[in-house]
Amino acid sequence: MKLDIIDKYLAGEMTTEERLAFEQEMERDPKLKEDVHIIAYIIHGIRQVGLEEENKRLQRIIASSASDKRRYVATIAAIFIAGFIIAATISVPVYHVVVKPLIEKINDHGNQENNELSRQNTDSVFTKQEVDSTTVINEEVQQEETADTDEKEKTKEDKTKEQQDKDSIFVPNPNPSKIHINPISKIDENGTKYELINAYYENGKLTLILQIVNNNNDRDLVFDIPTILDDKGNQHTAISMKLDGQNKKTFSLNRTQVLEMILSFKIDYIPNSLQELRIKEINSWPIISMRNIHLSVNEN
Amino acid sequence: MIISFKKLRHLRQSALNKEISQIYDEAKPSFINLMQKHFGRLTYQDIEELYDDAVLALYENANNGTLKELTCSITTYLYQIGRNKAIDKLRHEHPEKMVDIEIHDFYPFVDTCWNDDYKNEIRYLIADKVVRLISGSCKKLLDLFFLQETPMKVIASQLGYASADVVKDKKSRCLRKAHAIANENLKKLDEQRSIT
Repeated sequence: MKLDIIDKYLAGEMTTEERLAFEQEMERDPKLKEDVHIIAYIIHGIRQVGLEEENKRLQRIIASSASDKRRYVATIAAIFIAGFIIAATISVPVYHVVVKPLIEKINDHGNQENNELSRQNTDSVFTKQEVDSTTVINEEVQQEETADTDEKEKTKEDKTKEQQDKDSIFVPNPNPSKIHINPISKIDENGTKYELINAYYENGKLTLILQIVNNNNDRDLVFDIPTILDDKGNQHTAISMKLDGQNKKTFSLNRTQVLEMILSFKIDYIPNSLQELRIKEINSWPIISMRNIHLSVNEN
Repeated sequence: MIISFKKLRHLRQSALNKEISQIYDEAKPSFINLMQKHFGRLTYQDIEELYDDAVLALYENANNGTLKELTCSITTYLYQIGRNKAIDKLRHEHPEKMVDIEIHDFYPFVDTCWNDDYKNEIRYLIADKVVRLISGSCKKLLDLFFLQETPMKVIASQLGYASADVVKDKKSRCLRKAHAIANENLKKLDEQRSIT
């Protein structure tokens, strides 16, 4: 078999003359023609079988590209879900460790501010009424105070009014400092007994509680606003005066009556002692004076 | 999206498609050889880039449904894509020069041998049977040569033969063997027919 020549013919590598001569030879020699046909069929078969395999490869590419897409989508979905799970897992401890304490802190801060406002409010309610009384009671005392103090008082009064308008809830200071005092009493010439029975300090104010037993059968007593001299010699005029729980600008005492007098002084520290407490009865002389009052914070 | 990957390198590195990765390695030498032979003005880097684009195009066409069935080998398909891209590139870079493309018909006379007679049908069946029996180095060589249209020189380097002439001898021996088996089967069939 002339395989090289057949191969050259089938590959189209012959010149025109060579090809025509070969084709004439094929017509003359049926065996050669049969060999050419068989070789052509084998080459065709190689191509066909090879093409089948190539198409199987193509189908694998198509299938794998589809799975690539699915894998891609699955990967994205997995990342998203994993992110969600991680976020959900982290958010619980983060909430408890970071957010919740923060919220509580903010709330506490807000409550403190509210308490502060309420406290100011309480003070202001008390102060306003007393400042008003003071103004009416004794203009001289007012004039003794400095201009700064007046301004502060005014500002405070304005704030008080605003706070009163805004919030009328009265929140008392839960922990006033109780002050131990040495028992001290005085009896005036009319027989009226003045006894300092209690004291406490709260919000920059010193409050003294006096018990008065009036033994005077002749006349009623009318008192002016009391004053104190602190341990440094500074004079403080009572900014409020209550008699049996009621605010008073002046007060009178009926015969043989036992009353509790509550005096409030604006003083921003707890003095060790008071040099003097002066209570002036308007119609009588001398002033009732109680000296050497020792103050100490009662731990209990 | 995967399809939007610009370079096949990314595709291969990500190992998304093993089949494509395998084809990439298999078809590259033949592609480079053919391109260097027909487009001498292109550099090696240009041809490599065109090859990457061609394999990516194959992947995309398979992926988007444009390519559903092959009528030629994958290597030929890649070469056709590469050839079109090379022509575009050269026309763009050198519009004044006509790109002269040699279009060769591989084994044109194989397809001129068909007749619809009974004997050809028998030949077809026998040749198909014989071809499916071919295996090993013969199958690889004949596939590379007749299906992939790989040049002898490239086959030699790919399959580890000493030279193109060795490949040519081997190809002749393989064809001769296949022809002998087919001929024997045909004779047997003729004898059976003459008996009946």
